[in-house]
Amino acid sequence: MARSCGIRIGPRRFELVVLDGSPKRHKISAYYAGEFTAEETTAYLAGDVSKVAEVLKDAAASHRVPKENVSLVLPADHAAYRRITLPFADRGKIDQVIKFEVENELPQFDIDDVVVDYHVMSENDQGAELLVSAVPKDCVSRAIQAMEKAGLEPLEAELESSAMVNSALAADISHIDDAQLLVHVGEHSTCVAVVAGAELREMRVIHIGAMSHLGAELSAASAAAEESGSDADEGAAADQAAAEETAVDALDPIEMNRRIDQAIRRIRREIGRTISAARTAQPIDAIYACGMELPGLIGSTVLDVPVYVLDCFEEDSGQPSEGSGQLVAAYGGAFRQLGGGVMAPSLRREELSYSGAWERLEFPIAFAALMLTTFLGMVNIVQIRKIDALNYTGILQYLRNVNAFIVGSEASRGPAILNPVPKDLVVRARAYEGNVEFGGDVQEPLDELETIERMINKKVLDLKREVGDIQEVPLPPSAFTAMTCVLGVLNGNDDWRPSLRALKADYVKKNKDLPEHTKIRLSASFFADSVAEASDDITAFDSALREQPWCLEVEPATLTPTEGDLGLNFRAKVILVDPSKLFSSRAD
Amino acid sequence: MIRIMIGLLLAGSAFLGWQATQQRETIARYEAAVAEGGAAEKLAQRILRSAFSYTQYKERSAKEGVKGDGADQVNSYIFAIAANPKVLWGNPKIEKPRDSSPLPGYTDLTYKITPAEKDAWFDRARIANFFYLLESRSRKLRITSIDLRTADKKVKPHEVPEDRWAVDLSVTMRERSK
Repeated sequence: MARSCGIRIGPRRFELVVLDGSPKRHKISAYYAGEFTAEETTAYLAGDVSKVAEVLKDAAASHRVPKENVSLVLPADHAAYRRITLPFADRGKIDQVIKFEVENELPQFDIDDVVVDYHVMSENDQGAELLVSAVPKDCVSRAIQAMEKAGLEPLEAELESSAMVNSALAADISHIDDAQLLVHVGEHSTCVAVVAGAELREMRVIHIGAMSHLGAELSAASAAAEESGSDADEGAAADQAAAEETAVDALDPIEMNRRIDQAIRRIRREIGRTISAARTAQPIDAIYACGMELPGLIGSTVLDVPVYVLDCFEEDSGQPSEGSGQLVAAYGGAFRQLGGGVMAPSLRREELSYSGAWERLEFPIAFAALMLTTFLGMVNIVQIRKIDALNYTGILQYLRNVNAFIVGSEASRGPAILNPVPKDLVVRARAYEGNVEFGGDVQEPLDELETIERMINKKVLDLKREVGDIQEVPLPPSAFTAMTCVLGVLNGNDDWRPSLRALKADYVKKNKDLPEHTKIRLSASFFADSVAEASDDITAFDSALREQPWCLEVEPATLTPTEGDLGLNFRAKVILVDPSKLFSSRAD
Repeated sequence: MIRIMIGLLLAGSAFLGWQATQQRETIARYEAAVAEGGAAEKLAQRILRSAFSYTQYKERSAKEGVKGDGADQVNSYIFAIAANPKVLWGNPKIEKPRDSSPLPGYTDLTYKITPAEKDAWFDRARIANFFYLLESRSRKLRITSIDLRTADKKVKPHEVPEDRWAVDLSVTMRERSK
């Protein structure tokens, strides 16, 4: 159910009306009519809206006024109305030229200091007839500021007159074949509107209101208070207000009544003038009054036209039983915010700081944000399910199979590849058997596979450091193998009688002619029956060495006969051996 | 109120949007992983190969006498071999290793071993056992230098010496240069 609020802020009084429902069917859920003190009014008129804002805030809080969809209704005290005709009816063009067109009609205003609004009275192919209203910007911005400080941002602002017209036309008091006069009595001004055939025909402001009779005293007291020159602003406002109240209280009651009568007579005279000057096809058959009560107005006649209370409220729609006339303007503002009303005034059209667009877009943006969040939430849910499916039915199977192979499992009952099986891997593998809940120490399967690979690679690396990366490191030739090879040949012939004396084997690094090898220096004696035989044996030994694939070179050595010529002796016979050829020859 | 709600919803949407992006990346990663030839299959294959390597290295480690590459490990190994009942060399002297680079890219650490006593001698069997055990129980060490001579310096060329030999040797451990 939509809610709206209309607030009329006058110089001394304010009214608020809260509506629930739709333009066709609604109820008044709250209403209030309040007054400002003299001090509050003085401060407000001087530009300090804080006091008035406090009053509005309290009233809004105690009547549960909605903070959105609020309309501001302003008094017509300083407004002016003019009728102009333009040769076009396009609203965009009218917006562009309206100020320029009406400037000459408003000599009392600097056109840049007023807000100009218009209502299209009639339009055709030749152009449009407009009712233009002009209100000083100060008046509009002051009231809006007070509302904003009270936490009530008004979506739109209008004058009492248009609010009254909207209320009256909604109440169906005007018909196709009759005409009426609508009157709103304010504190210092009275709006008069001529309605005929259920359409607005004329509008004017009479600068006399229900409290105009106090105007002289209030002005004098304000001037006196200013002359007395208080230092503090608050003190000055309070002094001024006190002076005004004193001046009013000092008025003679007879004088007061005289002034009230005078004001009423003037208002009645102006109403009469309006009736006389009205250009309507139908005669004006009734005057409907609202706003402040003027004694003797309701129930009387003006130029034989009866005056009634403007009762625009539906029966039992929540309005007060008495004094509902003062709520008409506020009601009109709230009714318009619900979407009703014939007139669509906009005194906020020129405000630079008021975009209007944001407020209009707020709800759609909120709805779009909600839809986006909901959509993304659903996307998240779907994707989480997909990830779970990939984990549980896809990668987890890889992990379990890998674990079964490397550490073994009760299911596989086969030998594990890892031997011995590291305990840390067994513990990790157990976590993924049975029902698995990922999270905490239990990683998702792909991450777990990567962790297992890292762990095993680290273990392999540690083992490589331990045992040496010998597969790829070419080890130096073994002097032991080289020695064994040479001594094997030495001992390989039963006809020889060698006797080893010394053997020195040393590593020789690779050079351009020979690979890495072992250099053996052999010292031995060959015993025989004669030196010749010994020499033959040694020669045969050299030949036997040279036949070996591992023998790179045999250098002859100096032979020395042993004592008694029963053999030969040699020292440091050089034999170059490449033990790696021993294994290649055996492989062959 | 509406503005607060808009703010919260947009913040929530930003977070959910970021989450959704992360999840998309995860899904893409997982889908690629489970595809044929994907990361899961390759990981599994690499793990199995590494597991085989682990087992092979473990077997080799069990057989390797010199674990690690520090001098302490080499010394401990040599002492253990020297103490073997078939060797009985006592506590040989092991000099500090000398390093050299006879092969480009590799460093040889050579340890010279001499008997504890200057005039010590050993028979051929014990010498042969020592040499054999040194090389067979470690695939990292090679005997690269042997100096074998008769213990009796006075034996003449025409005489047959006794089976007593003085011996010095060097063992070398080669590794990749760091």
